[in-house]
Amino acid sequence: MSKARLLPVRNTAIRNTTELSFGQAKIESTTLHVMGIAVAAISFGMFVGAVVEWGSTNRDTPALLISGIIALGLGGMLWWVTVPGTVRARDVFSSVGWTWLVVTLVGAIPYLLGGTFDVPGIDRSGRFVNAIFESASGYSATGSTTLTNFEHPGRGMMMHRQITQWYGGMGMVVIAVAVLPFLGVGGLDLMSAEAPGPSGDRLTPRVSETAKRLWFTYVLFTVGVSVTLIAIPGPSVYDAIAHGLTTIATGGFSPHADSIGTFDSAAVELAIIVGMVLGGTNFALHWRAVTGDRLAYWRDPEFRTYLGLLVGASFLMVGLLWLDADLGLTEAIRAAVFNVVAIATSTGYGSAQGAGSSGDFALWVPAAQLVLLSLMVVGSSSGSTAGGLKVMRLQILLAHSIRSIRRSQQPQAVMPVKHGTSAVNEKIVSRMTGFFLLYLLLVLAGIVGLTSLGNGFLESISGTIGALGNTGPALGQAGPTGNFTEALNEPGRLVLALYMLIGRLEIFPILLMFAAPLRAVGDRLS
Amino acid sequence: MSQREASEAAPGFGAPRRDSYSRLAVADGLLAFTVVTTLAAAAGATDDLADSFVLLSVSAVTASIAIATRRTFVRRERPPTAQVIAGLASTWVSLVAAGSVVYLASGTITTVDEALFESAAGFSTVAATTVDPESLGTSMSLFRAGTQFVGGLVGLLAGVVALPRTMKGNVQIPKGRGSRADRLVPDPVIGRQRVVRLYLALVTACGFGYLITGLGARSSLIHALTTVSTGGFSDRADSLASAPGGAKIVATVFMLIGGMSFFALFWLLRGNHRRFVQSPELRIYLGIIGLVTLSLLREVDGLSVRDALFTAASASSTTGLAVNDWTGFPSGALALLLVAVATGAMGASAGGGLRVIRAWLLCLIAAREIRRQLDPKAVTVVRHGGRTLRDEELDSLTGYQIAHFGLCGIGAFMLALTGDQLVDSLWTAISVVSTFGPAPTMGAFGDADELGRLGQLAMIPGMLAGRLTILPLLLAVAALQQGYRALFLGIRRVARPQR
Repeated sequence: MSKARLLPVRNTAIRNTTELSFGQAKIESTTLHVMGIAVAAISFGMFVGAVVEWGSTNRDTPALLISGIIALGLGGMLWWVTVPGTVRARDVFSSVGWTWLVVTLVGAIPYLLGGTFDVPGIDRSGRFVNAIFESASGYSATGSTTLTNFEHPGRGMMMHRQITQWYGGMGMVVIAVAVLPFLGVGGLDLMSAEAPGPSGDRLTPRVSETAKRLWFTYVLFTVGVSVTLIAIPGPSVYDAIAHGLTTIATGGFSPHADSIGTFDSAAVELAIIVGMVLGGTNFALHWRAVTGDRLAYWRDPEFRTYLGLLVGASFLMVGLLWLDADLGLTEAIRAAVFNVVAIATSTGYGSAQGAGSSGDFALWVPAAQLVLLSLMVVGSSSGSTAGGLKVMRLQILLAHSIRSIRRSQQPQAVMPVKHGTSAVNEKIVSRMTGFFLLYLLLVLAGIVGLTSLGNGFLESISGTIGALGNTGPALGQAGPTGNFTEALNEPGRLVLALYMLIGRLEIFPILLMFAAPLRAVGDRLS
Repeated sequence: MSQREASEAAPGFGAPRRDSYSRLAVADGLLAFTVVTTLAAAAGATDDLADSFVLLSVSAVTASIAIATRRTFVRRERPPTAQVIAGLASTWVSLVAAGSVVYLASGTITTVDEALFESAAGFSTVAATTVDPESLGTSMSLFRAGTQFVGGLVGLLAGVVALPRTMKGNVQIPKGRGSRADRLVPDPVIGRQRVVRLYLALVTACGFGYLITGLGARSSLIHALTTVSTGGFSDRADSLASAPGGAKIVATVFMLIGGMSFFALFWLLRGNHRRFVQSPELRIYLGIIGLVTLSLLREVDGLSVRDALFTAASASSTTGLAVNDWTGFPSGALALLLVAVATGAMGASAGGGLRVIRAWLLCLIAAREIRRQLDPKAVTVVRHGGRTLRDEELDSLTGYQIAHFGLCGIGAFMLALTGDQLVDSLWTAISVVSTFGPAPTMGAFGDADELGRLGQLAMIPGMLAGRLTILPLLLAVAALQQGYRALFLGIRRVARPQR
């Protein structure tokens, strides 16, 4: 291993072989090694699902067991035959991008084996596409679904579906904890690419320690939400755990077709709202608060803006619904606050009790829908499990825009872009504008692509923004009471599955995942 | 003695002339307005005497104001940027106000909000209307087209002469580089003259084109005024849908030209064909039109090549003339049309939108970010037209464009508040800010009555931002912000006096 690390830094995905003590040649590839660990790790969720299934509906037990064995075998084999190599930027992107793609494909196996999408009207290719879509939506913590019949899959299969989002929520921190000790130097690069958001906030000098602390906080909050839901009358223990897994993950999957609307309980909604707000907050702040720094939240300018955004949008939405949507004030407050938080934190739970009910935001007034669409774009805090552009980016972009205007009046003045009270490095400003433009181009490409494939304009716009922001439900037919099977055609669903991964990994890993393999091929050819 | 000193010493009303760029800009605008109004009144004198009388009366007032202003104030040799922008905005507001008076006084429009919208649409070259064009007499039809002619000219002079000179180092304002002989604007006076001559020549050629292809004298003149200016007003309710085929081809050609950079057109006129052809912005502009045409042909059954090209050219040049009701096209075609409208025409043209050069630079900045991610330590630059662009230039560009996107979002929200559907709100806001006009809500022929009164009022600031770049609006916002800050500081001082 140490010999491998000392090799000159030039490439790559598959570069070299290393002779080990018992005579087997191991391939030196960071990408395959990370992929192996990740694929093996997701088998745990499948086995948990199998146990739940065996103890309840017992319909999909074999499918989950076989899938778990396949994942464990494939992951273990990849892990066994490879050793991690050196880590450069392109290797980081390659590792993360390919890992997420393969995890999504392997995660679709239980749905295919269990016949989750074997429903009338959906052919073989449709089932395959739906399985991939559901898996991508799970591991990217998006929450869009293609399930048309929620009664068809067993409880274990649905629990597996919930667990995929729990994995996806904190993203690659899971892998970082397991992988970093093997990778050694260069792990920070991997961490910064995998941790959600633009924040480079480290809690400890060692990145593996940071990852462990974030991971601990994540588990703690997941347990907290689950226990709270158990304590509230309404949800069963199964429901409480299932929703606990997807609340802090800001995922949004639910075992019920009506999502949180099934319980029709203000107490449940309140508990979920608190959980979603926590999930959308920077986890480094949580750790600081948990370890005694009570003012950590208040000192953070991003958190203040994030909270202000939620409160402001909720007020606006209450006003719009109360005035325009013929809802009573209490009903308007309940529907508005829940859905604002669900969308802004990119969770995507629904509070609607069937189409046309007060929580069905696909039927809300257009201005309210536009507010929700804007919240999908903005997302929550950096360093959280949520998707979207992130509040910090938006703050810096706005400050940058205002500076440009002021410079027109005073061209000679030195005006740094400020975040809170501190000046932001110009390089970071430049990178954030680059990221924003890339985001816009992707949205544009998604809309043009989906509409050209024959999908509706509203579904294409909201679907693209929702997928890229990992929100989940969109507008029109893809709304909270709708379904992506009915809203988009098969190629459209595949495009959105890719967009979910792009959004989860903050664009670059998926766009650059071919860079390392291409360089490797180039090196070999030259 | 400098030009300024000479001007100040010039005999006027006895007192020394004060310095005000913005007031003189308003005076220039009103003089152009007077000329258009007088000509429209003269042309329609035999047709509708009452309308002509109103037009002449208003033109007499505007002429008096303009002449008095010119005698009272003097222009600095090079005013600061803020004054130039304030001048452009004041000119636009004065023109819109004067235009509204004409509509109201003639009885063409009876409500103030609709009159303001119609006038703003005219001077912003937005093809959205609140009147039935076929109900208007000759003088009012000509006046309405004339507003777009003036709007196009003001936009051109702002983009070609005024802003590039004052906003040095700002890449978003395109400049004509090269030798002095190759420069369209060697100095402001010559620049203004050349732009006006070129503009008039194009309008005249376009008018003759329409006339030859059988559009009729009145219609030819009206469409010539609104085609090169990329305005899009028509004297027919169905725009050019029922026009002869030849007229549609003429319109396509002149819409394309209207959306071209005047710098590039000047190179062509000077015989520098190579430079014209090699302009990267021109290639992208034509490429977008080609791409949209092909996709329209693919998506829409039974659409002819001529009509597809017409629609693509109308969208890309942000003109708004129409030969069919494209709002019923499949969503894929509509999405591409929206992209073309949002991207808009070339910089330094009469067209609107984001502008091809800016859109292209934004793409290059995004591509640079990908390269940076791959190799964080590498020096990555953005090059355009053989020049490496400075970071400050790119920062300025992105800063303004973020505000531009924000403005479209606010516009869409205002429309959504009036009950417009979400997709329609977005479409309309982008279309209006890009100075295109038509949108699915209004139909391909730009019936603005569909927007409702609030919607029409909400779109007026968007028209200003679209026609004169977003700067005037942004500076107003910045001034407001500074005003609020000063107010806040003042209140704090009163509440907590210093020891």
